[in-house]
Amino acid sequence: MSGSGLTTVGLSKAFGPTAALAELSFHVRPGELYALLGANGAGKTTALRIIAGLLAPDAGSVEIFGVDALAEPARAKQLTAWVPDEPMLYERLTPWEHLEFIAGLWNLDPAEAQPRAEALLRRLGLWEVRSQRCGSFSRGMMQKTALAGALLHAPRLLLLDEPLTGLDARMAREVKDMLRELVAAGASLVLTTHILEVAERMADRIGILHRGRLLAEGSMEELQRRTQGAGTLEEVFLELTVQPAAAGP
Amino acid sequence: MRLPAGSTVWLLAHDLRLDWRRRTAVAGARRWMALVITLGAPLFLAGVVGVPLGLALNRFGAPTSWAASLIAAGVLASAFTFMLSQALAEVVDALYERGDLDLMFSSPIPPRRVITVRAIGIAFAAFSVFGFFALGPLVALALMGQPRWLAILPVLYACALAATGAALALGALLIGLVGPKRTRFIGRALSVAFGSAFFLGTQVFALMSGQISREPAVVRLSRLMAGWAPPSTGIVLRAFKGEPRALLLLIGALLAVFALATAWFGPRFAAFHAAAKSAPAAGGGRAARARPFRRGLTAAVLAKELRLVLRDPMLLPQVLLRVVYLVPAGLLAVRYGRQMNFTALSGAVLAMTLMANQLAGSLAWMTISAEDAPDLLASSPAPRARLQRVKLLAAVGTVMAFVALAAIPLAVVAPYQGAVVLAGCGGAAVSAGLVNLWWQRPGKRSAFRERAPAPWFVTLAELVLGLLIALAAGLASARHLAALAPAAAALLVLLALRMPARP
Repeated sequence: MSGSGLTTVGLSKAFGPTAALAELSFHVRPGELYALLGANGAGKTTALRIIAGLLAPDAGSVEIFGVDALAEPARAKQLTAWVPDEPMLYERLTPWEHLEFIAGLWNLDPAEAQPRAEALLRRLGLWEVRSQRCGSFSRGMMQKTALAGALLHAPRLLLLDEPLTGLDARMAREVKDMLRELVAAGASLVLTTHILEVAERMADRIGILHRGRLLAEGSMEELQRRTQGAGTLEEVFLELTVQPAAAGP
Repeated sequence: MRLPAGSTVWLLAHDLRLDWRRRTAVAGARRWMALVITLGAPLFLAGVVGVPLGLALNRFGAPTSWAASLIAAGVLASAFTFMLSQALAEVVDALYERGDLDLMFSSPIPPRRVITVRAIGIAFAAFSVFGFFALGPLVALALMGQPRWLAILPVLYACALAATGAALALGALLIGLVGPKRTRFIGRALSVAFGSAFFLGTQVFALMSGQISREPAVVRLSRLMAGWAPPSTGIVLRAFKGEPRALLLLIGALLAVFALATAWFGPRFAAFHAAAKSAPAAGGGRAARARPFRRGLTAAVLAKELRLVLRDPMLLPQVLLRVVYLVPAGLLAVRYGRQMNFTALSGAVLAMTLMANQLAGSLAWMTISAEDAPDLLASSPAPRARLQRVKLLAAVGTVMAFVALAAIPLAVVAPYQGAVVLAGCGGAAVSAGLVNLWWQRPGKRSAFRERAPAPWFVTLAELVLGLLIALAAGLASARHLAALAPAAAALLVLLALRMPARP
């Protein structure tokens, strides 16, 4: 087990009789982008919520850059940012006020947070609308505001649930560039997406979840070798997930 | 029987079904309690109000005096202001909050029909409160040989229709005058103003006359109006008594208001609705300078909570309503303090403390339970307990800022009583906040009016707690040692309500 990056070991979580996660173990190195794929209800969001400290697992452990996230949640959260598929925003705050609030939550020094907030808003095309309330924004603008909030404290681990939802082609490209820069700077990044081309092009490694279990994990080439003959990630994903489904639980 | 799709009756049935489901959306014991109240209250009122009234009417005959006419007109006028308040709130909701009008206006059904049906539904909602309380006594009167008084019910419904027509006109007027962006807030504020108009009228009267009267508000305002009331005022009492000509005239006049408003505004409402939906967000437009970030968690959370309350066009009027109720009591307290009338002053102190308790309860629910982004807070490193303390501070601090407006002038004329008001209101606000903290009822801010209640014993304890602290403050302001008893009892209730901290 590595002392840096993200490591989960044996994560399990059940909601009543339904097992949402079953002994999920994976590791994301610093400077690595890991795509967690799976059908609806496969357990992706549950995994991210546990890692983000929003949900307690029934069993297992989470370590974030050497910090035991279950034993020291505040220290782990200081290193982490989570962007869910539904942006966590206040409709009646402006993007600037939202970032001010985030700076307060993460206890950032205003002298450092303020220029960083300005740079993020400018880069994400939100500077001109910084004093408009988020409630009037399109889905894409809300997503960008949430992303700016997540990046404000320069997280070392970034958890992204469907980060490109609602973004136009130009902004999706800009966000992908930003994520690559973060990874190049040494951050660990876990993203879930239904757009498999994005995962195929961006991810260093890919994990495929099915009914709470990690079916397969590896680079694109490793997954292709495992499925013999599958060309695209879509083919790999379908082949790996259809077979166990056909076999039944 | 299948109603013809798209017809007025079909639409009305759809609206009534939705309204019924909204009103009956309670489960378990609360459902039974609601049923018992729905059936029991009219029976209770029939016995307590209807039977004595029937005996009096049978013995003395129907009233015919000028004073009785004024009282009847006053009752209808006050009912109209309450109904206008509710109808205006519903019209603003229809314009800005409810999404189903988009669906209806995109269908081939004529907009005028859609609006007429919606207006009938709004009027029914406004009427239902009055109808509910009036039904039992009126049926009792009818059973005791006075059926003509049942005419009050159609008069009240016609009044609700007229109020709805006036609300539609007012909404349209506001959009034309101040634009769709500001109509949302001003419409809500006007709704609150109409709702509290009668109470404030009586309080202004009390302030002007310098004493608190035991007469009902309606009688006092009627007396105030007697000097300039037109001779036609008597038509209301005659209509209440079921005189056919008066009944037809009054109902006809009220229905004409409704018909004119829906005929004129119905076809235009779709345009108003579109304008309201596409109104630019408040605070937008210009790129204002980026104000410096505040330092630290407490400042950031306080700023956020205050901004959210101040910017919510649904909530702010509700909060202001409670503040508005505080003002007359505060002014009376200062007046009695100046007159050294400590017995009367203790009543004002008691009222202020109760209102501070209510206001703090509402604000604490908004800041603690109605968090819009709970996952954002949970995923941050900020300790949960500290976050909640700051949210409590935001609620209590806001209340105390309003209380200080009355307590400081009072402290100048009566320092001891000023201190008692501060302590009493502070205690009442903190206790209401703590109960909201221990017994959280998560919900959306937009559901403020229909927020989920706490378990019945908590609601009861909350009420008792507020009354005990208010009683203690009232007695303490009159320098009664007996104040210690309700204060100690309040402390015991608060300790009993204390919940262990959640992980």
